[in-house]
Amino acid sequence: MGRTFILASHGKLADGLRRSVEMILGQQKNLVTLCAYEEDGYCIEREIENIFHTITEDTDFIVLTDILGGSVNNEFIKVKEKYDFYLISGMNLPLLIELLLNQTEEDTKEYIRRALSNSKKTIDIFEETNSADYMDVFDF
Amino acid sequence: MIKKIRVDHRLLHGQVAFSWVHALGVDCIVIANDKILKDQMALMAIKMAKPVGVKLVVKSIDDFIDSAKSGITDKYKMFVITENIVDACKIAEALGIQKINLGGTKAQPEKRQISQAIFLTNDEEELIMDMVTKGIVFEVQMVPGDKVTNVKELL
Repeated sequence: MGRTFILASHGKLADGLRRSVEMILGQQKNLVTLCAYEEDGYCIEREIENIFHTITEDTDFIVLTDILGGSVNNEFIKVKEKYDFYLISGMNLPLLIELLLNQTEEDTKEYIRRALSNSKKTIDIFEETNSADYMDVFDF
Repeated sequence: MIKKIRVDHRLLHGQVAFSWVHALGVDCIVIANDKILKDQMALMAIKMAKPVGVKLVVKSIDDFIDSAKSGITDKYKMFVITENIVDACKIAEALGIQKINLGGTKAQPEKRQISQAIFLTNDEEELIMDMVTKGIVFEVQMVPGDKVTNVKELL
């Protein structure tokens, strides 16, 4: 079964993330974005319904939202019983790249856990080291 | 063996590290460049940009050619990145490589733009023409998902 990714954010983050990831990996087919609350009277419930209704093919849905506890994430929790999907909060570029590149046949939950664990390592502070300490690693 | 040789003035960065390594199925990235070995900050950045599970080698152009000729690189599936066209051509000629990927060259006022990311001096254009007549194919392609354009269509 294929996997469809839904990026959802307050404002344009989701669209921006899509543009960035496509700059790096090329065009992505199974990616949908939801940029919430940009206009007055925006109805997120309706947009969420739209997404789940327009994609009819047999696919696993993986929803990535911008922040845990935010209203976008909360709105997806509200429909968790109604639709079948995986919900990840705190989306970012390394996580999305990891998810898109390392799609294996394994159980989707395991695949998500591994992607989270790998991409969390990329959030770090840059520490200066002496290049003499690692020059040997650059050799054949 | 060399799976691909690419010209990219940014050397190792996200775009290269993630998408090409994955698409090519390589197990070794070679940065072939004469200046970078003296640039501590650039080396640190490259070390950080290295994808997990891939070997990263940094060599001067001549050292890399010598290594490849010696046979010690035979066990690796290599993705070789050079900063400029001259370096890539030197390696291609020395090792008999038939195809060079043009990923990106630095934009400068005196250069001519032939694609979104490729800018050439007159000398570089002449070098490419010369190599093309010798049978070398130059492919303009930023990331694996992009369309491949033969440089002949752009000159």
